[in-house]
Amino acid sequence: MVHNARHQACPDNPWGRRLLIFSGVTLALVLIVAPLLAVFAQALSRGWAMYISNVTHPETLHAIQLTLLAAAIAVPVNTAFGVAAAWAITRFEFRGKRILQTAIDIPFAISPVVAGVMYLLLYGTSGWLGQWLYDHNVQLVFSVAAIVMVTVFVTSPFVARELIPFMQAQGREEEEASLTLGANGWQTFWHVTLPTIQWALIYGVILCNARAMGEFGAVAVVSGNIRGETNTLPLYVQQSFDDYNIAGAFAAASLLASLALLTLLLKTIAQARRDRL
Amino acid sequence: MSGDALLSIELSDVGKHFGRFQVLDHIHLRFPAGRLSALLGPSGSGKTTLLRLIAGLESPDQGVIRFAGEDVSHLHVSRRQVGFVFQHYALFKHMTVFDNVAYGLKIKPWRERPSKPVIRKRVMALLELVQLAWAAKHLPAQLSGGQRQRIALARALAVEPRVLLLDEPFGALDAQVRAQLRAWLKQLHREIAVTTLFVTHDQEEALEISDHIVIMNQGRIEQSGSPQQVYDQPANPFVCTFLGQAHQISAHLRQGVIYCGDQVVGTAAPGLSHEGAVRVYIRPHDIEVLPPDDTRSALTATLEQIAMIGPYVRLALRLHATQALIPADMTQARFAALHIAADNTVQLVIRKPHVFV
Repeated sequence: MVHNARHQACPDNPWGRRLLIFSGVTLALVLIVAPLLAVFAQALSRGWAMYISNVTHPETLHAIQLTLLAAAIAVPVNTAFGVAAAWAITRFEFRGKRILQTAIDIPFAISPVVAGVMYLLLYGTSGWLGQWLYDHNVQLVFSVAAIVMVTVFVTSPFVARELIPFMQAQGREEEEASLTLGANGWQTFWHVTLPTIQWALIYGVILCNARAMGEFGAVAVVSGNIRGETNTLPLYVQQSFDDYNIAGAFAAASLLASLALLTLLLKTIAQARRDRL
Repeated sequence: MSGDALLSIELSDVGKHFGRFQVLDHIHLRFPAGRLSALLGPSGSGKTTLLRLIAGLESPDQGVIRFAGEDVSHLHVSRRQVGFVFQHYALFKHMTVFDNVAYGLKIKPWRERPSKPVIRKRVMALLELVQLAWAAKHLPAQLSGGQRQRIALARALAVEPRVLLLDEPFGALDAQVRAQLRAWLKQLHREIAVTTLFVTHDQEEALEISDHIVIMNQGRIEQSGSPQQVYDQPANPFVCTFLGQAHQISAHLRQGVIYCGDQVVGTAAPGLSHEGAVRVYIRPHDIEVLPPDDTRSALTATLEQIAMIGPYVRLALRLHATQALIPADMTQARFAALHIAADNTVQLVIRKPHVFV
C-alpha cells in the first residue's frame, strides 16, 4: 500500500521528472543565482582597487557602522523579548495570552513602509507625541534613534516566532523535574531551558539579525536620508544608485550580499543542530 | 536511604478544578509512612493531578496537604523535597547520565552542597543501585526506555527525598520490561523504605507491587486499603469491576439468601440486612462448575461455549434463571475431569458473590 502510494505521488515518467527538475533549476538560476553573481561582478567591474576605495569611502563606512549599530541594539532587545514572550506563552496560562500572541505577529503582517509611516505619525513634529517631544527638545524622527526603533519593531517577531512552536513541542516536564530536584526558577532556566532551546534560539537570532541589517522600507521612511548621518547600508545602496554611482551602489550591495551569505551559512548550521534535538 | 523518620502523607478536603471541570472533589486520604502505595484509576480519574498536588507541581484550590503533620500546601515544589518520576522520564537530554543524577546535588546552595568527590561517590553509588554504573558517560538518548526510567529514579533519589512520587512510571515501556521493572521497584522499595506513591491505570501492576491501594474515579476516592482488602471486599460495583473482571447478574435478597430467579446463589455477608433487588457481581474464577448429576447446588446453567486461553479454559454459561450469559474460568485439568461438552446442563457454585444494593 505504502509502496503504491509513493509510486502515484512520484510518477515513473522520466520526461515529467526531467522537466520538473529543469524548470526548478532554471528558475533558481535566473531568479536567485544570476542576480547574486551580478552584484559581485558589477561591484568588481572596475577592478579591486576601485572596489576597495568604494568600500572604504567614509559614507560607506558610516553606513556600515549605522547598520551594525541598529542590529547590535535590535537583536539583543528582541532576543530578550522573544525569550520572555515565548516563555510566558508556552509555560503559563494567563488572561490576554491570545492578544499577546496576535500582537507578536503584527510586525509580520504590516508592510514595513506602513510601520515607518506609523512611527512618523506618532513621533514626527506634527505627530501625537512628536509635539510634546519637540517641546522638550527631543527629535526622534530623521535620527539614528528612529532607525533603531523601527528596526526593533520590524524584527521583533523573529525570535519569539521561532521559539514558541519549539518550546511547545518540548513540553515542560524537564523544567518540572528540575524544580522537584530543588532548583529555583533561574537555575532551571539557565541549566535546563536554555541548553534545550539554544539552537532554536540561535536560529531565531540569526534570522532577526539578517532582517535587522537588511531592513529598507521602514528605515527609509523615518531616516530622512541625511548623508553620512542617517544612512544604513540598504539606504546607501539606493542613494548611490540614484546618484548614478553604480560601482559604489554595487560595492555596498556586495557587502550586504556577503552578510546574507554568511547568515545563510550560520542558519544552515544552526538549523541542523536544532533539528538534531 | 534518608535517615529521617518515615513520613506519612495526609490530604484533608483537597479540591482542584481546571476551568469548570472538577478534577478532584473533597479528597480525604492518608498514605501510610514507609509504604509503597498505588493510586489506581481510569484515565481522567484525577490520580495524576493528585500526585502533582502532593509534589507541589499544582496547587490545590482548597484543602490541606501534610507531610508527617507539617502543612506543606503552600511550600514551593523546590522546597518540598519530593522525588518525582515522570512517565516519559524527563531526563535532561543535553546532560550525561552522571550529570543528570548529580544535578540535584550540584544546584544546592554552596553551604549545603557536598564536595565534588562526595557528589561523585554518591552518584556512582546510585548508579550502582539502579545497575547502570557503566552508562555514566552516556547521553540519555543512547539508552533504552527501561534504562532511562531507572536513571530518572536514581536522579530523584540523589537528593534524598522525603517522599517518592512516580507518575505512571512504566506506562511507556513494553510488557516485558514493565514486568521486570515492577519486580525491581518492589525490591528497591524494600531496600530504601521511603514513603512511595505511584500512579497507574493497570490493576495488575497495583495489586502486584503495592502495600496499599487507593482507587479513584471521576475525582473521588472509591476505596482505599490493602490489595487483599480492596480485591476481596470491594466497596462498590466500580471497584469490583475495575479490579479484575466481574460480571453482573440481577438477583434479590431474602433473609440473607441471594436468589437468582427462584434458584439460590448463596448467602450474603452477615452485615447486609437489605431485602429485595440487588446487583450481584461474580468473578470468572469464583464460579465452580459441577457436573449435571451433582446435587450440591440449585443454580443451573447451559454450557454454550468453550474457549482454550493459554493455561486455562473459559466457559460461557447461560443461567437458566435469568438467561444472563456469564463466563467461568478453570484449569485445563479441572475441565478435563468434568467430562462436559457444549449444550450440557451444569450446576454452579458461586464461591464469593459480591452483593451491592
